[in-house]
Amino acid sequence: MTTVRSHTWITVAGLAAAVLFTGSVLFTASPAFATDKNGCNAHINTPHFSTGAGGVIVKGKYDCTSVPTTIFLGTRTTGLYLWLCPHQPQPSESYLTNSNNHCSIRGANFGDVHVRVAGRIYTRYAPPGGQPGAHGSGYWVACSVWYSSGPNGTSSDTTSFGPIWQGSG
Amino acid sequence: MDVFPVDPRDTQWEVSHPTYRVTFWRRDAKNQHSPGWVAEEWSIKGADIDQVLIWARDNAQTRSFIIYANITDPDGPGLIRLFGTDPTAAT
Repeated sequence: MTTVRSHTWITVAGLAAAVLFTGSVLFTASPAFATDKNGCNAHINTPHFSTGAGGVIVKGKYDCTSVPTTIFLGTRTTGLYLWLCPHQPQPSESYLTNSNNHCSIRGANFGDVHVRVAGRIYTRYAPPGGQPGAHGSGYWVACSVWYSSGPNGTSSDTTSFGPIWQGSG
Repeated sequence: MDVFPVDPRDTQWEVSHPTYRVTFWRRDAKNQHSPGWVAEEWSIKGADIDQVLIWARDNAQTRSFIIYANITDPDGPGLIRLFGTDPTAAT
């Protein structure tokens, strides 16, 4: 797992959105697809305050029916992101990445998920373990951009959103 | 709940004294319009599940709680849910 990274790249076909936040991270993904080739799913929990983490964290849960499969979070277009917005956000990439909405990424996890056991839930947190929980006040929401590669091939990017929490931590 | 007889030779490992993870959940009272969740996490060693349940109930106050067994296997450290639910889980 790594911390926030710097990316400089060009979007493809104008479909992807990109934004510069708190320094230099770009965030993008193509629209979600209903079914993943390897039967993978991502469920993103509601951000919450954790006393153990000392701040706001969020959990992403990933599973697949075909194994072995890798769910990629560590490529330049993927990851699990914890966002903070000053106003009620729309659960869309275009809203979060629009600099006019002043949303910022407060945690990110780029640890690929190696799914060895079908049906087992694999978890990732943002910010990841070893980093303090996030702080701030406003609307918290998390999303994951991911794709899988396994026995049935490699899928396209999928974007999964969790519920929004308005609070401070 | 499904109950059925089983051949006991269908498993290959045991953990006699697992470490337990207890997470207490309470509503964030600071925000009445959109109350979120605050988690308080504890690790318990050297106890059986009935002791863990008693400890959790004694310390829950008005909070809900979830109990996991914390084990490590080839996938790394992980949690097996034994009791309760995570209120932040959408599904």
